[in-house]
Amino acid sequence: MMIYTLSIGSLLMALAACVLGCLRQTEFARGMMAGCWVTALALLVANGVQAAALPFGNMRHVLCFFPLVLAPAAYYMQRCRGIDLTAFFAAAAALSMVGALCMPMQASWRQMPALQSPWFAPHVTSYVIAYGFLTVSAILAVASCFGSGKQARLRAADEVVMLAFPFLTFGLWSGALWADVAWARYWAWDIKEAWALITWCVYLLYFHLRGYASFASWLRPLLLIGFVAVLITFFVVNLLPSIQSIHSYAQ
Amino acid sequence: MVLGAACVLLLAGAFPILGAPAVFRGGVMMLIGVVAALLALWGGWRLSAGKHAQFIFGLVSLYFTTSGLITAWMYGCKAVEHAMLGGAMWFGALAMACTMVVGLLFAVIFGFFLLKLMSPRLWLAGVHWCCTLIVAGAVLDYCYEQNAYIHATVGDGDKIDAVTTTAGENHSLGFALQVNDFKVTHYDAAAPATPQQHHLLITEQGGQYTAAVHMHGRWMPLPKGHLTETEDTLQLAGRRFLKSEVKAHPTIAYPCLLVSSPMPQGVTGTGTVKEYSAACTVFTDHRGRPETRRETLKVNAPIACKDWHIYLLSYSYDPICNQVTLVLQARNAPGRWYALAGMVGLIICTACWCWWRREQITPEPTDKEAPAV
Repeated sequence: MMIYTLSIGSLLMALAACVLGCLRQTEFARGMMAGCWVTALALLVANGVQAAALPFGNMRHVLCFFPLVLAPAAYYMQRCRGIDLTAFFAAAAALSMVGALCMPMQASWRQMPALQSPWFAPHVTSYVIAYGFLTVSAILAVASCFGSGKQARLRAADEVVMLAFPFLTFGLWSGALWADVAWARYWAWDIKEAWALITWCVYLLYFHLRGYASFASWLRPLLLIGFVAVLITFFVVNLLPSIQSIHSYAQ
Repeated sequence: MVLGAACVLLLAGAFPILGAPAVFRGGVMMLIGVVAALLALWGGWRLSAGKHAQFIFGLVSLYFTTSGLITAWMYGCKAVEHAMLGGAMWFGALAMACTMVVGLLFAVIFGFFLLKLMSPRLWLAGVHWCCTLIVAGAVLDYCYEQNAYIHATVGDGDKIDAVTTTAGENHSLGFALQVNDFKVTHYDAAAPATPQQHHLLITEQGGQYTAAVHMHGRWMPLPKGHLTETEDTLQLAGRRFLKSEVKAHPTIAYPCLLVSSPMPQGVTGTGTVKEYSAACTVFTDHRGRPETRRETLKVNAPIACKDWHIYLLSYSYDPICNQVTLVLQARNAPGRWYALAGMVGLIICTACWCWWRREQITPEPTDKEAPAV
């Protein structure tokens, strides 16, 4: 019950931050985002206590972790890069909490031997950070199609992707480094790995094209295609029952 | 080429119904990889144009900075581990401090050169060359990697010194591996104070011998094939008994023989497996002298010896024979270090390029709006 209450609380605060951000009530939006972060932290602790382990055992656990990284990132973007993206980061946090509420509640979680590695926490955390930021970039790419400030939004999306890409790279290749000791091969062409590589390649293509004016119109679709690849890697590969994956313990 | 690669990626293995992992592991994917690596090599060369010496010294500095950090981390951890295992605390603290200081000094000095030498453009060149290094390692492994699956019985005293690879070739390991003991721990279950016993019972009724095993609190008769009989001996679960050992027993109506032996720890436990490990002995040589090493083989902790890595993949327990069979993988991958170095380099170079960059996105030519988000 407490977990549901905290999840709903976090979702409502993220939604409020998003609405206030859109209405240019910057200070209130940041306050709500801070509240969302505190609630998400309490949720992380509650999940950890319930699971009696690091709360990365299922998709609900992982989705609950998103607001925890998105709120400080919004603050960082505003403080260090001078771009106020609170509304967009809050929207991504709200989306993740909606996803978390849709996932079934699993009381306990046990780390199987292959998961007991020092790579586990950094690998998952870096992917959560990367996917969170890439969600924000996709929202910005969609928002850049409408209203005023299209180019500024596209630039902001680029800033966010630049922030996310090293995390995505770390997630992908740290997984390979881990697999080398756990599965006796650094690349197994598992379906999850294949889609993670596809996602990485899409953003790689984005980086190769962003420097050319003639390809400027490709950037928005590429950000969206990249986000679709993220969704497939994170949700479809995990949730489709017909898929057999050596990453199946991540379901 | 990009479209072709996308088709292979998407249609060959990225969907379960169309999935064909053999395509990924085949020559087509390798060819795409080689072409991509050559393009990355060319891209890196162009990006570092005019600054090749600076770039090479930058990469050397990166190597030493990373080595310094890894040294500080690994030996610091080992010192802490030593202190935690009962070693002298002052020794642990001193060793940790010394290695940390040396490693960090290394990292600071070479890190300074690194920051001076590398520009965002050279970091980007580094990203490209690391991609080439990964593919080079993968191609080497594709051509020369040797893999062999070994089924090793715990405690049978056999030494594994040669393997038959998946390609059907026999290879000497250059060392011998013996699996002495095996242990499983489960969540929510405490390990028993004394080892559990495995019981086999051989009975004789009218000249006919039958065997039973004690499982789940009751005696389960074994099918006939398990017990083989010669003129004066009986063979069961890989062990030989004399028929004369089957004697009258005060509480059992027929002559019988009870054979008890300790069970490997935790193999019959219930619940989620927490950890399993095998105690092994590696018989090798060091500078021409024989050396015996005691190692613990675990998931996520392979044994490395003479270009070979031995991985623990899984295990099975035969309740009749009371034997644990480990599924091990022996792997000799000559390109592994190149691929792993490329991966580490790629992570570092990508982070440095993305986070210390000075390039901006090229604006769309038609858009002339105010920069409000």
